[in-house]
Amino acid sequence: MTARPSPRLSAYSALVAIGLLGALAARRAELAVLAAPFALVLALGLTARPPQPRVRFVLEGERVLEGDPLRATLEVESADPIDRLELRLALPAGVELVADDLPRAFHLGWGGERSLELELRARWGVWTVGDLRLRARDRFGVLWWEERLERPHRLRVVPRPEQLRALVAPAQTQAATGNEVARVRGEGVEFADTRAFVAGDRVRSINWRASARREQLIVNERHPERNTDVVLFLDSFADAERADGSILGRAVRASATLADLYLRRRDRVGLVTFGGTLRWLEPGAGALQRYRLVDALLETRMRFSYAWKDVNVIPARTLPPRALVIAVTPLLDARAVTALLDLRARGHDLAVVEVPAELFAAPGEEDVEQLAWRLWLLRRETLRARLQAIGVAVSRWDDDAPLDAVLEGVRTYRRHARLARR
Amino acid sequence: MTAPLALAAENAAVGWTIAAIGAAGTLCLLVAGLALPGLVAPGAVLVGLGYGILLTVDGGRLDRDAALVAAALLLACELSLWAHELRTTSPDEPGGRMRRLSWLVVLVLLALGLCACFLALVDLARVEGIAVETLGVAAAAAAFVLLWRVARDAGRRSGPSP
Repeated sequence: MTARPSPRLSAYSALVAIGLLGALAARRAELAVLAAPFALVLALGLTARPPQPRVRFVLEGERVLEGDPLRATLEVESADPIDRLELRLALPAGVELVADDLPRAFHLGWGGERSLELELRARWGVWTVGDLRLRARDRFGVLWWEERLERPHRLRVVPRPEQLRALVAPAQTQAATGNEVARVRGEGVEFADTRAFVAGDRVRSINWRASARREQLIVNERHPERNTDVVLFLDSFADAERADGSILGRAVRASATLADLYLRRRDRVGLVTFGGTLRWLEPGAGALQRYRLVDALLETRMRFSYAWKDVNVIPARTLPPRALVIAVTPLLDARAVTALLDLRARGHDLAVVEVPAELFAAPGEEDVEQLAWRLWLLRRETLRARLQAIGVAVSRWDDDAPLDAVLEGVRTYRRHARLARR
Repeated sequence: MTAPLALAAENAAVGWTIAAIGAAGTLCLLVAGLALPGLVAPGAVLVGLGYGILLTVDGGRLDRDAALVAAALLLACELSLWAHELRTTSPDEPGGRMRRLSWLVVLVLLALGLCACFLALVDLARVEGIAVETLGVAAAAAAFVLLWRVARDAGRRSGPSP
């Protein structure tokens, strides 16, 4: 530990010096007597042994759901007595103590130990917790002993998932077996149509009732169950915060929810984080992919950049043909909007879940500011209309709406837009 | 604390002077406790100055109440610094204040005993001769050696811990 002088050291040193000098100058022993107690405190304080506490910091887990409390334990022990030991846990910006009224200063006797139970709560993201600051003082308080201890624990806080009843079905499916009823006809469960028997058809496919009516062999056709490729396109160019969350926080929560549910349906899910830093994860399925996706989402941050980016910087394998691309975006940055238009122009099946930026901003009070606000809103409406005109479903995620309702908006649009595209 | 000193002065003008200086010292100690711990030393010096004036005016006899004044001055300084610590450091665990208070009482009693011994030695020195002078020189040398060792140890310890 590092010794630091306390206010007591300078004050008492000055008093001792002045008292002794005064005693010499005035030839009065009483002034030296006045200085004697302060000299005693200084002598005893400076000869005290430096404290050597041992501190252990334990986190209950390293993965927690956003908003859930997480227990942590701080254990302090010391062979020698410490009159007063102050302990402070310096937390990163997204982590807070649930109850901050715990005593942070202790007295430790010979071989004393103390255990503190803490309860933490954190915002989504990856945080490093365990930066401890210690300050000890002896009985005389002449010196303060300070130390900064690093007991790092990586804490991954997963965004709380939204409740969804249905997902957005892609326009086209892939070749592998899955849960999505394909549009094509083949071996499956769902009935599609009937047709005349041709050589090579299986006997079990013959529809005997229809064959009897038509006086020729008729077979049933069915829709096969296939899996799909879903690519989550997360726009991290811009972010804005308010007390109850941020644009990026809401986008990450939506992406994590969608990824989880698509993976449960045995679909392959990929991720493109399109922002100041481009990050991608090729589509994959299974539990491992779920962890990869969540980890990638947790590390998403807005990084400011002037560099122009377009769809060409995204690796081709990340955007496979016939994949459904779900963009979660505030539609604020021109680069992200251009990338979405390019994706649609290249024939990708695209849907946009918009986290409206206007919910995180407010118009000014001046007339000019009000006018600018209205113009900005009009520009955003125009942008949405432009996207919808080229067959992209755009659904706003407003404050009072659950994500399920937002996806229902996407599904409704796609039911009609699909007919219009044909 | 300075009121008894002011009352002890035989001359009224001296009494008022001591009272004024003492009040300024007390004010400094109060402000030190509330916000500025740097004012502890000036406050104690002002109170000591008032006591010094009283000693000068009252003549050459040894004041046997010096031990009480010293202990009271230490108590005032400790309370002032404690008040400042309460405002600027983390809250204590339950029972912490009572332990600190009892330690303060012990410290004041210790100071009182030390000062009384010191006064007794001074009183003895006034009636003895060269033997006590020799004792004084030896005590000064011992104090010097003690301070040198303390300073050396403090210098070794102040580095970062392994």
